Amino acid sequence: MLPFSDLDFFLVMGILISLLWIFKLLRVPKPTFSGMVLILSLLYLIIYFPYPWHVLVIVIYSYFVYYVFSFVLKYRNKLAGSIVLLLPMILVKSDIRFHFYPFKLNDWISFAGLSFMSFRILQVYLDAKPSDKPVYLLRYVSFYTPTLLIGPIDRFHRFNRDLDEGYRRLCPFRFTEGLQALLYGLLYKYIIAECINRYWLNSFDPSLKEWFPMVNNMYGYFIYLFFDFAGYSHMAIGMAKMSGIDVPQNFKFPFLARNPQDFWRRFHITLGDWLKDYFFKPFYLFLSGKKVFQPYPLLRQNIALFFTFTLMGCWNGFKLWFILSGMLFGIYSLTYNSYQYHSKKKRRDVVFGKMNDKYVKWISIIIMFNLAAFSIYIFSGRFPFIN
Amino acid sequence: MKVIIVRFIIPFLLILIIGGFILFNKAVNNAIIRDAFHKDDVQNDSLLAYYMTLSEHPKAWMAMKQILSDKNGVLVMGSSELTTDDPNHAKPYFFIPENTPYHIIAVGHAGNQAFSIFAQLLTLHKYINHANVVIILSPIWYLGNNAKGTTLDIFLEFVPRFALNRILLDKEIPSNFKQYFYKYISQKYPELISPSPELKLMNYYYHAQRNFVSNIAYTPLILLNKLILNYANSINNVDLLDIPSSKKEFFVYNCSSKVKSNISHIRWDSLYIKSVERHKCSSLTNSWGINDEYYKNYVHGEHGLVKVVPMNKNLELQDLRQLVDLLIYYKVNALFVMQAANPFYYEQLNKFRPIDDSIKIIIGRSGFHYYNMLEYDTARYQKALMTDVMHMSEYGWLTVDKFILDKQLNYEEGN
Repeated sequence: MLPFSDLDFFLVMGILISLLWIFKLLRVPKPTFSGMVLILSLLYLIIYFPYPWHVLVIVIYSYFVYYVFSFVLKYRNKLAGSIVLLLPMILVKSDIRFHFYPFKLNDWISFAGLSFMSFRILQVYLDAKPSDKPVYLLRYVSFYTPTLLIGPIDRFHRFNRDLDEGYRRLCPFRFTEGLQALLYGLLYKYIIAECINRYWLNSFDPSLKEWFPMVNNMYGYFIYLFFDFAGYSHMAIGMAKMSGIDVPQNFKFPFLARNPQDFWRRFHITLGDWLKDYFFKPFYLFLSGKKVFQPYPLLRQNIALFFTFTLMGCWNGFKLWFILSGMLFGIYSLTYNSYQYHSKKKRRDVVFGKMNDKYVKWISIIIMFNLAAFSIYIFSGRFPFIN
Repeated sequence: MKVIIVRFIIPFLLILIIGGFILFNKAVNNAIIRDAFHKDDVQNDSLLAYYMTLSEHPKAWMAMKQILSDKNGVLVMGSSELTTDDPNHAKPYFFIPENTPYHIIAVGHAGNQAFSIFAQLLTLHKYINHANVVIILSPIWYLGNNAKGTTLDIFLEFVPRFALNRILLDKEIPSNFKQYFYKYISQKYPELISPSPELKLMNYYYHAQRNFVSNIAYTPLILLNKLILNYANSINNVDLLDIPSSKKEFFVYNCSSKVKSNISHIRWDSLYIKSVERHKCSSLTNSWGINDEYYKNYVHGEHGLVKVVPMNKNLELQDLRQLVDLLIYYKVNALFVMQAANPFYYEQLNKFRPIDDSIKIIIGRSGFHYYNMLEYDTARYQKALMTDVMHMSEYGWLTVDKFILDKQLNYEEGN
């Protein structure tokens, strides 16, 4: 069964989490907390998950590449390793198919098509330094199961720290916090998102090119996406917390964002952070090192911003609507960045002037809400002018 | 205390309320009962001689039940050949009721292969003992992707929830048939979106019997889904085979004024000659015996590929074996027809010969009558047999009609 797909999944997770708590309460020295997390992860993968080998193939492959490039070849430049690591994902996203008898390669690497999986795989590799000790393979395997398909993009070092703390991670306070998050997730995903999908989003055919159905679809999808995805994230966070693992928050009132940068600090936070740490910053540093860009700090920032968001679009798949949506967010960001830069330079707000801060705040929120809704509308593939 | 109330008791109460809401909300209930039939659907459904799809014609199930229980009834099951044009009423479900005292209905369309037929007959197992059933096979079923067996969408179209419910809960069905059925479900399970509790239980039963660990791991899921199934059955489950049908409703295509008490009046030779003549007129632009329009639109002088799947990987062959076992177990008066394939178009049809031989053995061991229309030699192939490359013409259907009438009488006489 796929995670969060039905009641059965919650029953299985309930049993697995109970087993973890029983071992804590029995105070047995073995297996350790990390050992139990691994055993239960494998139990779920092998017995209940429909494609266990697909997950394990990608995890083992990525560990092999991580190990060889970081500790055998000891490459400081991470580009070659990243490309090899992302090769399966590129094959899947580009729909390049290989049929090797007796199996189809694409079936086996299909899991790599999940950008969510690739973000986590790449992060472990990019963080690795040749002077570090390699991460344990078994811990690496168990890293992928708490949020297997969807949810916040966790970082391996943070996850590893949680495991090191042992059974102390299991405490009633964290458990109730997890229960609360799970409840929010159920409410968001199965009630609010379900109602929006049934009674709002499906009220008009997405192919209609009249303004009212389009506006209806735009707002409907934006709000639906939030509740659906935030629901999944909350459920993943909740279950992980109940098992003693603190998966990071992923949403924080995104509809109140005042600008594009603020939006990505509130909507799919872990993706925004990931892109900032592993693409924007290195890319900005790379541009800063080029003589040609040195006199133009704003240009450097804007180029880095634009490419970061375009990459985010491409990561979802090489479809026109994904790429355009990413580029649109890039344009929003560089426009806002230029506005901020000039406001700072001129020591006054170049757009709102001396307008009351309260009004500026609410006007910004309304503008950002609409801009984000439009970009997400394009991302959804429901925008009738882009097919 | 305040912390416990806020952090634990309130969330726990909330989970009960929300959980209850989810359980009783429309979305979840629709997921549970989404493909259950309503009695109104059955009453409004028209009665036909040929049912292309069972999902759109719930009454077909009642008609099948009646035809199987009728001494003079014949159920024809097949795939795409049943859907082609038949202006001269040569197909069995027209020709036989119009010319003989037999009642016939036919069920199926493209993709309705052996496993789907097996599932339909398993659902109707109470009525198939000594019933007259004709199964029309196609060589195409055993080639290329079709050899993977019945696809999931076709299976779900022909085997609705009430049928799954019957197969799951009926204790009279022998366990080997159930196991084969469950195996299919478990193989297709990852492709299912929101599976019904019946499908879940079948999948879990299959996995649970694999080993001790699986048994323990799946037991809670089995218990949970049994509860859900009982609940779903208690609120809405229309079993189409349990709906009593009045005599008034009984219908199969029948031209009563023409019906004769025997079949000796049928002049097969003259019918054959006329149909061959008509075929010649429709195939003037090519020498392969293919209908002109079809040749122009799809063939253009090119040959078709014969993609043979190794025997041990040919699931369709395994499904046929299981279907034959079912027919033997329930002592069905079954007839099999293997349609021809145009050997001019399928130049490499010879590659199919080993599979053809296996099919002969599978059907042969059962003692069922088998009409194999396949001809590999272009010189011996009767061009009027097919209208296109894989579907029978009027002449082809007439030969099938004759086979059904001759052999069905044979069964009646106890041979």
